[in-house]
Amino acid sequence: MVYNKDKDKSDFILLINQHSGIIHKICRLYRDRPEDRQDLFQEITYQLWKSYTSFKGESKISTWLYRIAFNTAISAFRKKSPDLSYTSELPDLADEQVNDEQTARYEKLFKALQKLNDADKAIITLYLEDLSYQQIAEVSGINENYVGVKINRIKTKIQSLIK
Amino acid sequence: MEENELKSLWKMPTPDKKTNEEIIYMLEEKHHPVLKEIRTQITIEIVGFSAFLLCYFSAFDGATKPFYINLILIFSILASLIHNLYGYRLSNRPVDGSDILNSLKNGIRKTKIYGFRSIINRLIFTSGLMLFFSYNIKFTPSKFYLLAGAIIAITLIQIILLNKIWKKRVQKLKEVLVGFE
Repeated sequence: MVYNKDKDKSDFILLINQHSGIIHKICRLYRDRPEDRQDLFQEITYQLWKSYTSFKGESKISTWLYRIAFNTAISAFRKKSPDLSYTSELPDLADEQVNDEQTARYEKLFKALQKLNDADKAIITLYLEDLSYQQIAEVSGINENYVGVKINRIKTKIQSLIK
Repeated sequence: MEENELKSLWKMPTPDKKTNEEIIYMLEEKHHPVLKEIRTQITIEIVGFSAFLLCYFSAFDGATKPFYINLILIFSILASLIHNLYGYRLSNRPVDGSDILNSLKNGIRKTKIYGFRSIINRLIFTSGLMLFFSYNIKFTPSKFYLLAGAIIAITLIQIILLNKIWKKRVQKLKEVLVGFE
């Protein structure tokens, strides 16, 4: 079989376009400054591309993508940046079909999620993305029975953070 | 906030669509934001140390010093460069495991080893340079003790600072690991 790098590249671009929303959300969860989020988006895309050719389809493409994206967000070396905290007050949503109240609630949710620790951020994201407990266990490496316990604890944390 | 609302809010569309050109740009190692900085630093070091190695023999009296002293100097500089190149390779591979937990465990192990090597490497580098530049110099006992004390103090401070930096990095990864448990 002839290896076609151009075909691989165009398939990969399509994949990134399809999943850019979740990558964008992961970047927002794990980095505070807009430029750091942009750097992380690039880093995740680069790491995905590096492992794309060796991805053998043993797992679902989405679980493979989550695994790489979270690993990169948690473990990647960060650029040194000044200790200035900057929080964008601008809504981070597409304009279509969004009203002010929804935007405010979305922002409230995101601020609560940003306060979670790195592990909880990963687990709750996978849950909100509708992955089954088995898939969450596969991506995170924790026991399937423990996934349910963790999710319940995180949901309680979120509720208290939102109040 | 109810569970259904959590999920529906989470699924609201985000605006950050990338163009194909932007994605293609991101695939190149040379455009990688962190690696680019490390690469620039390593290039400067390679150029600087190469220039030093090319001219030290005549400029710093390498010819008048024994062969083994020259060899120690070259080894200490090359060891430092090789170590930094390995560090570049390590930063290029943050993902190393079948799942997040495995990858974290591998990351902690590798960061610990790299941190330890960084300290050893700094010791070799400082000792190599000091040995080369102090060889053949006759010191009075008081100057010798003063200089030796200063060198030991500076080296110790460097080791303590390096140790602190690497411990902090390992600790950060360990905290994430604990969060999964």
